[in-house]
Amino acid sequence: MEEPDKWARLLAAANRGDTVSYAAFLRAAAPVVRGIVRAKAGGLDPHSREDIVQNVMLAIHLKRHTWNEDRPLRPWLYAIARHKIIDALRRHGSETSLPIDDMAENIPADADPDPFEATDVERTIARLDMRSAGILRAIAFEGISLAGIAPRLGITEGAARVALHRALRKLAALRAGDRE
Amino acid sequence: MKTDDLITVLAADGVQGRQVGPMFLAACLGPVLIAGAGYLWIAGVRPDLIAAIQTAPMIWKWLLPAILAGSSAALALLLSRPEGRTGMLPAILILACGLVTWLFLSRLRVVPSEDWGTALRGQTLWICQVSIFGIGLPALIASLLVLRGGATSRPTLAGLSAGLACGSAAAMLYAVHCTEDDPLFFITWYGAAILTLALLGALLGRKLLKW
Repeated sequence: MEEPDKWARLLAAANRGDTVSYAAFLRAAAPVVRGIVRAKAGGLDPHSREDIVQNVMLAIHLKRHTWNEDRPLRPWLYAIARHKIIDALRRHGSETSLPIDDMAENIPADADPDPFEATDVERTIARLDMRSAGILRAIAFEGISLAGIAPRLGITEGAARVALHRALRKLAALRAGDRE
Repeated sequence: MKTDDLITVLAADGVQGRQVGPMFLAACLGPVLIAGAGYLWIAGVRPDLIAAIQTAPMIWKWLLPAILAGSSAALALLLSRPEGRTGMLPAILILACGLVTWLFLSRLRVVPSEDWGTALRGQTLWICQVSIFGIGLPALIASLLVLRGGATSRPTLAGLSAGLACGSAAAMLYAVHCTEDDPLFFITWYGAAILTLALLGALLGRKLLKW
């Protein structure tokens, strides 16, 4: 049970603005999410599974304020994963039932580090407006910081901050809307 | 895009959502109090309010919706977290419904059956429906918008709870105006108005609370 405590510490620090802890938390959580997705949606091909992993990570990110620091982190994280997996399976037209209500405590984390590219997210980014897509790509592929992006777009760093957050929310909404 | 690249993007975004709890309570209570105060200012409080406060019907008209409002607001809040379980709260809701049924039936036994229809219909059936609905609706919209910031695994149930909470709170304020004191009337029609808002909440919640 040391791991979850560590995660809780990291996310708690992250929620107070510690970006290094936050990145560490997300990197620690991703393999576990990947393991859960593999366990629950094993019938899908690896690329589709990685799409789900990314949806879960996006949801964890946008909903991180709904975790209460006084409560265990794992059930919260599992619930988000479950919600997004069910969503994805429904979209894939699978009838697999998902008894992860009391998800096993020890689904093994997937050992392979980020084995497959997710393809969906590229398509979704392509459907965003130019500026949002540009911000996301610059940070993801060129490793540019927000401070570096602001002058490119001719806006302040504060405005870039807001623009990035909006871009991520739009991305999540588009991906959730794919089911319709 | 690799998941690791996505994580880099996520970690760069420091903007956080706000805690749902306090905002939800404000979204429920604020509009109900404002709409209710406006309503009472225009429609007036019941003239015998001071005397009525000490009578059983008035106490029921506040106590029953208060139980409903409290437990369903708590339920909506619990459900706003992804891992939220309903716990004991549905039991409290069922208990409240039992209490209502008991009150209704015991009144039926007292009133002669040929008067049931008159007692049930009362004088202000439609005013009551429209007023409670109108006082509660802005609060329902506001609280659903706040709940969108949460992450519920049960959108329909969360919406239903929000509707119950806002409808019940609205009924408490309407009771300050309404002079119909027969439980056959107020249980039926306050109940109908509250249920209308609850159903609307469930329908809207199903759509709005997806994430």
